[in-house]
Amino acid sequence: MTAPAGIALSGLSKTFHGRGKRVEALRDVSLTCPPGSFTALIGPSGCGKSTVLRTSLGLEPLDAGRVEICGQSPAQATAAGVTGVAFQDAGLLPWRSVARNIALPLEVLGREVGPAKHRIRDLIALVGLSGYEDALPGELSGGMRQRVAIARALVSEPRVLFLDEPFGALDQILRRQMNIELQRIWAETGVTTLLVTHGIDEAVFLADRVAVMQAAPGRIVEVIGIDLPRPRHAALFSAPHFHELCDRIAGVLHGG
Amino acid sequence: MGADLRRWLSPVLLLLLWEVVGRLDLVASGALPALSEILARLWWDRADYPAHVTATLAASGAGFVIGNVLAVLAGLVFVLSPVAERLSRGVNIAIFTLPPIAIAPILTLTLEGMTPRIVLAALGVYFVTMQATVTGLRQYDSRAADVVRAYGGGRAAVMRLVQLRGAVPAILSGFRVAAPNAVLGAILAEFGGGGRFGLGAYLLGSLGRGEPDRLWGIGLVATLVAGLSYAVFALISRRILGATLSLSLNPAAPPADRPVRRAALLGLGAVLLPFALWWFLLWAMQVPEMLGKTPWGVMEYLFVSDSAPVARERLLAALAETLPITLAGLAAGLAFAFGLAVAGRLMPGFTRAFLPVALVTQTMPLVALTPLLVLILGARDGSDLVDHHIGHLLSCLCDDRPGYRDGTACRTGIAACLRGWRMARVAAGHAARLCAVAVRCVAVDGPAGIAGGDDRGMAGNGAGPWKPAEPVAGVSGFRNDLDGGRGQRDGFGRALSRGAVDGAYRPATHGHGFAALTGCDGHCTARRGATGGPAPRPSCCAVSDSAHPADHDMMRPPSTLMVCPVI
Repeated sequence: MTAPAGIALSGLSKTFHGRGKRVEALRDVSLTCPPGSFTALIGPSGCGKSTVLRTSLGLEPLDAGRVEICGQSPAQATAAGVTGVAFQDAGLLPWRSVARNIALPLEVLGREVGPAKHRIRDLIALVGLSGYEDALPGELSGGMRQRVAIARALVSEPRVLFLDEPFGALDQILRRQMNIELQRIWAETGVTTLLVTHGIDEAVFLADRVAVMQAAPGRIVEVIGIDLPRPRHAALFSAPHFHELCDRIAGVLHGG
Repeated sequence: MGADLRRWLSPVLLLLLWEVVGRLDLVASGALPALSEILARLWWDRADYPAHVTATLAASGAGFVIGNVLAVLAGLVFVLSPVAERLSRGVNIAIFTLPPIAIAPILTLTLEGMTPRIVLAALGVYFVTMQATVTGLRQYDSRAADVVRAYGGGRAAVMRLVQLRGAVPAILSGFRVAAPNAVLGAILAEFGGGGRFGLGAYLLGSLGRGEPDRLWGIGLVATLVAGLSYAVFALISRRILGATLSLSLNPAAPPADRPVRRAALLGLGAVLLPFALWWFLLWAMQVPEMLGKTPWGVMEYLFVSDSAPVARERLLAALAETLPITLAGLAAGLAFAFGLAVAGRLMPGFTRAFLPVALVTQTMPLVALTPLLVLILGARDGSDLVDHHIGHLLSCLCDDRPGYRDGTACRTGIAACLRGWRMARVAAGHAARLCAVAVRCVAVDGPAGIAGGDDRGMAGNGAGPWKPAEPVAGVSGFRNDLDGGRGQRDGFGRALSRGAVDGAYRPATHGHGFAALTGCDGHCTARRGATGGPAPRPSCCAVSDSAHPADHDMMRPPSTLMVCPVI
């Protein structure tokens, strides 16, 4: 694994115009994620947290502001394979097997899939899907598909990982399991991670820092450091300090 | 076992009813023979069929391939360039709404050998497949596309990795619906184009003999051929799709609206392009002025020449006849199809029971059906209605069912509504097209009560060229052969006076709208008008049935025999 790289967002502004409406999705959003850090971006629905992620990847144009990933523009960074991404929906290609879905980023990046066979198998094992290599997405449960998406996000050996509510569609139990898995993957790979979520406990459990956003216009109101020791275990979910942090974030979210 | 029995019960009862009705000659004095009689006749004629079926398959196969290749390529271009799509909209709509019946005569006159059949088959498949391709390519999963783009993939990568493969089911279902269309187109051109072999030629050759059982037999075989072509692609798509369809889709947003001025320009281009193409094709194929009218020629005919008011009056009168029938057929067909779709959703058993009927209606070439409908329903509006009905069944059912089926619970309602509306638009086109078919059919069997012949035979009698049909592109998609009726046949050494033609027209237009204006049948009517005598010896007999003494059968009253050679 190459050295991790940081994310620097400065002054992002974005307004959507549609059907006579004007939505200021982002106003002057700045955030720096140091190399190897885990940052969670949390906020109510429609506060623009997904837009932060999409503009960071160059999927949406910005009205103003600047994104640097590893010192590069989003277009350069994504095309160079610096980034990995998983969205709220797995977005798997239904006609491709699990293994071939995971290989998709390699094909887009123009890399050889053959040499990555081993790596893909390891990733499938990492997300707990051994034996499902040749299954089609239609044959998997929602949680399994989401894990395929996580594996796919890691296949290009990214130095920066963008996760957009990757566990949003999962039930609470599976979600906790996946949180623990994700922490393990992050610890093993040291990949700089930006996680967009609306789960407070998820954010506190995983992140070094939690950036809290509010809507209309979408902006970051506070960045809260999470000083919980690592590795964090499932028992943490019932620890008093964990709940203090959650309450504090909830307070900021509700404008306290 | 009990369920099996029930499933078979209604078809069996239907067949029994058919048998009894046929045996007792209850419908139109024997126009509907018993199934056993039809099958017996089929067996009797079995030696005739292979050559005809092979010819039809060859023409429709070639047309199917050519039309589909063009359609998929066009779909690709339209998705990549919305401007190209806007510009081509007029041409696409023209191709879709163009009743094959109207251009068959032109094609058979201007092209040689198998070409008209292939062209007509290709025209029949183009729109269906093009539309399916466009829909398929547009309805890709935006989330999967985001993944590709998030790794630096551009439009080409999204097209290659997400859209193309994603469109395969839609394209296959396009092929499935298009396949019977190709057969239909080929048969139609055979019908209008002479030639010895082909089911259309066979149908034509058999028309004059007054043998409903053979007509039905040919209809059945044509249905079978079309049905098999449908089934082949239904099988292929089932095999290919497998488990891949079960994921829900997050459809990509449609392209954003364009600025008004640009949209207006594109719209203007879309309107002009079909005319430019029309002109270009006439020029490129070196069609003599006499055969192929330019757009200006039609304008002149309708608005400038001395007879323009008369022509317009006829056209409007015809439109007034056709439109209500079209609308009534559209409404009835849509209501029926939606009723079926809803019933199928609520009671799965119903779908199963109705599936055979739906399949038949979907695949039966209306070619074969229309004469029979006219026979049975007595050549009145009823047959038009039924025709439309079937046309809608065809378009709505095949599209509705997946619409109802693959929708996830939350979007079923809306999707079905949207889909329904889209289908309604398509169905409107069908109705207009089929109306031309049905009406034309009815017209020959018109009030004059004479036998309508087919032009080919007259040409076979050593006639010279005549003015063929002239398709006029109307906004609503109506196409009519305006000039056909002027049908002068120098070969008969008899130049028709205008008055005589008009005289012949009037009863026909009066009774049946557009039809009288539509092409070849007009010739017969016109000729008769000129001679004022009894019906001329029908051409089809002259061509291929000369060995049969049944020629004079054509003189029988319309309700018993005279099936017009539609399609």
